[in-house]
Amino acid sequence: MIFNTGAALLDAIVLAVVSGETEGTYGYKITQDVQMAITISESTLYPVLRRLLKDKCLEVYDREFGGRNRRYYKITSKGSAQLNLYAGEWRNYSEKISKIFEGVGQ
Amino acid sequence: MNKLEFMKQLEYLLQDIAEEDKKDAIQYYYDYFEDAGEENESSIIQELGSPERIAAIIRADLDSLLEEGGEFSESGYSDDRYKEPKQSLSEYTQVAPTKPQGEKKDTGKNKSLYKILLIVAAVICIPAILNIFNRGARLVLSLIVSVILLFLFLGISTFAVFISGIGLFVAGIVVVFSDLLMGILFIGIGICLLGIGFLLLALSIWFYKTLVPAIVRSVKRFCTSMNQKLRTKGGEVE
Repeated sequence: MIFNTGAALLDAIVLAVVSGETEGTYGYKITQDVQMAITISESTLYPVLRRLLKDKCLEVYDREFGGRNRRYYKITSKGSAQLNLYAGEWRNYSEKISKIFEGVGQ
Repeated sequence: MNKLEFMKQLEYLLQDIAEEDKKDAIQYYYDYFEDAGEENESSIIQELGSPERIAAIIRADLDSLLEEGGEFSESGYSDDRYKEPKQSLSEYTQVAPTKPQGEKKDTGKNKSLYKILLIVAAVICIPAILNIFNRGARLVLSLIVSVILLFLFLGISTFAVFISGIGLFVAGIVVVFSDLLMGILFIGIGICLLGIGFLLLALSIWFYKTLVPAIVRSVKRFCTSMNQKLRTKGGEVE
């Protein structure tokens, strides 16, 4: 993609990906899911997850998986509220941009 | 480099950050390798870059430098601050004997220029800093003295008022036989002073019993929190 993704949009995408899993999801899967939408490097997500944890938009718990403890990330109610806000903002924003592009190149 | 070496190196590079933060980071990347599976191991290591780079990102995040800067473009997340460091760990540990002479000289020149600038800045700033320091010290000193005086004053003045009240009262009783009006005046003033003495006594009991311990406690709390802050800060900087 030639358009840059800011920190807020990345937060929103990560929140949306995590909120899709009611049981919570884990770092590698989050990276894979986010990569379906935008290109990010493997080292990008840890600081983002940490920030969302710090802001109490996400919470973590450890669960056994394949003989080891795997860390799962789950959305909190605060995170859901934040995600709703982001989604609304995005709809508003993308609608306006789409309107401006209407008819271009068709 | 395989994932074990990578993780070992990363753990080594993070050994001086807070235990909790280190554990979180190690857990995350350990999980990541495990969940990606062996077939993706080498590509992930290539993508992550060096353990030094990952450690630098984790540290920068702890210092909350990551809040701003960095953008996502078609080539993924990029941030000039986290470009692959030019030196790898093995080069760090050797005392760089291979550095060309010219480069060394250059940095030496730069350093001496910095030194000169620093000295000039110091000469300009020192009087102002001293002045501020002087004023601050005077303010602090006068505050301390006044607090100590207040401490002493309450106890001593209570005592003094009591003694003079009793003295005047007794003197009034003695005088009342020779000079009735003078005696009554003395007795009256004595009783007034005793009354004030009792008021002061109540005040100083409250002062020494409630206020002083509260002040001591808050000062103690402040000291320990400062201490902790300094300690954690020191830990991060090290």
